[in-house]
Amino acid sequence: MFVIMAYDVNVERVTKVLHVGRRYLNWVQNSLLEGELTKAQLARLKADLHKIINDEQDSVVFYISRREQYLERQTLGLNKGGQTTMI
Amino acid sequence: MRKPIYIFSSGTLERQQNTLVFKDGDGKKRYMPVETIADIHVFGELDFNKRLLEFLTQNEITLHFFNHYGYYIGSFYPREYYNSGYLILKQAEYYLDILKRMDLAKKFVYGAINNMNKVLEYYIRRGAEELSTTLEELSHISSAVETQDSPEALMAIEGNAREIYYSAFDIITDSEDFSFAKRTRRPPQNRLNALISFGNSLLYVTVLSEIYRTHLDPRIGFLHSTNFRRFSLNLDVAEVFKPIFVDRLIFSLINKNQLKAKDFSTGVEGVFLSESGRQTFIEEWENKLKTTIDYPPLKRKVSYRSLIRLDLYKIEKHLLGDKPYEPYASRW
Amino acid sequence: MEQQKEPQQGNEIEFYNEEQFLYTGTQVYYYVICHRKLWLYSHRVELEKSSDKVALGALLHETSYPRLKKREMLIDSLIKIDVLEESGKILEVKYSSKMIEASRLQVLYYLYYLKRKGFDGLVGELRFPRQKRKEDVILTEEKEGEVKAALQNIAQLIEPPSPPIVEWSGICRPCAYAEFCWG
Repeated sequence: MFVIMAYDVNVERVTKVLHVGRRYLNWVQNSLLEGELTKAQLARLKADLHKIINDEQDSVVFYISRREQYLERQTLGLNKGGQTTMI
Repeated sequence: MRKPIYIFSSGTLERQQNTLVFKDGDGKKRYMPVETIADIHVFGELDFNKRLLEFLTQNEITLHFFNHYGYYIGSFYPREYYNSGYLILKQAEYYLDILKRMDLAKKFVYGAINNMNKVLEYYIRRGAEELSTTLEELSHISSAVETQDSPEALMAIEGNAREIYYSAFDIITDSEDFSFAKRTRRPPQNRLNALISFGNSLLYVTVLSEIYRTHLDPRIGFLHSTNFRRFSLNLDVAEVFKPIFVDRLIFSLINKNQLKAKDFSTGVEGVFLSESGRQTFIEEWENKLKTTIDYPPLKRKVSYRSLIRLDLYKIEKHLLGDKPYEPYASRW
Repeated sequence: MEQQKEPQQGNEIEFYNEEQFLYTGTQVYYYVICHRKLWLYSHRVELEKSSDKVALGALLHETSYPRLKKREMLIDSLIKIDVLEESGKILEVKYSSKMIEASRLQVLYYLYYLKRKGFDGLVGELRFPRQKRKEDVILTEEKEGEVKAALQNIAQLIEPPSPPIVEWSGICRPCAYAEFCWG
């Protein structure tokens, strides 16, 4: 499934959340990542994040689409990052 | 499902914050999600250290290298993903026993010729009736397979089959820019040959990466002789898939004008695809591997890439004495 | 997986056989589920890594009951168990209660194994966090007989050079070995 992750966390934990996110997803722009994951990969990502965030102060939101094709991505201005197979 | 990454730029690949980062010449960083990568194909100049190789091993990611002309150089194949001593012994047994080895080797050749037939039949249905003669010639060759008693003789027969089949390429593509003339390797002498060589090397590494995720030892092939220094099982299995994966993709790229004469260069190493040409090829190659088709034995759709894995499992079952291997046969 | 073991003292020497101890909990579990899977797994033709379901199960095992004090122990580099620190119960966490028979036998095997090592009177507990369900597992004399019979059967089932013929059953569809068996 295709996953979009957006986070809004205390500044102390921003870097940590970014580091965990980048192990599973592609960086798109500030606080936003995307990529194709299996169920277990998503579950593990959530478990890893759960160890870092503070449930009272931080928020991580996942948008999940069964297939990438079901989702249309449009950009205004710069295209900073995202999922790629070729570098 | 893990995915491949292709690196065309030159730079450094490193482990950083427990994931992979590529730094290009200008110091621009590009992070790659280590958890979802299957293998990395390196076309550019790449610097890396042992720490990276350890990290790739930990995460079970294979690394494949290609030279300046886009041809395969070698792979970093981390220690086994799965490891069944029993199956490896069986694989060796089927290699050492010449009858068992020939039986398997013939299956790869039959599988290859059968899929060549499917490609030709498709174009015959589309009006290229002159290909019927090629088809007949192929069936002659095919009937000689059974009587061969050495892998070398079988390789020669396979070579003949492919020569006859390749002779149909000029009729199928009907393009002056992509005339075939004859098969030339190392170096390829014209564009079509360059495409075949490039496509075949992509297939070899794709099969190798799939073998990595099975219990088979890639060094022990049956049709292609083992010399224990290089991979050969992937070459065997690739024979079955070349016509339907590589050749069909090439015809489509040429016939849809996605690749043109300007996408090639000529050097001392013969004719080769330029970087933009390679990118186009790889993009379509990846699209093809992702395409799903009906697969009746599992009563569901599977991707082209999974077809390779499924054939590897069939080979394992053959070696375990469970069920004789039947190579994948394209249905159209 | 060869084990050097101290000779067992006392009871039931006539039954004791080194071979019968050389199985993992997974083998006992697979024995109930599918003999073909047992054969393949026992010959190290494993496919668990390729399965998302197995990965989900492993994650659940790691992350469930974070507040429960438990200690993971690997015994004779063969059986891996979670012990509840307070009650001394042997804990086994499962993703699904569908294979409850197999899960029971697996825990019974752990209890039997430990009993043979001299730890008598232990109790097991199965937990299915997703179903919010748990169950005590007690090694009675009758259950011990079942474990012994299973161990003998496992030895016979994995002996032949080829796996048992594949037979379709409802549990094949979600199985990690489905592509291998049916592809």
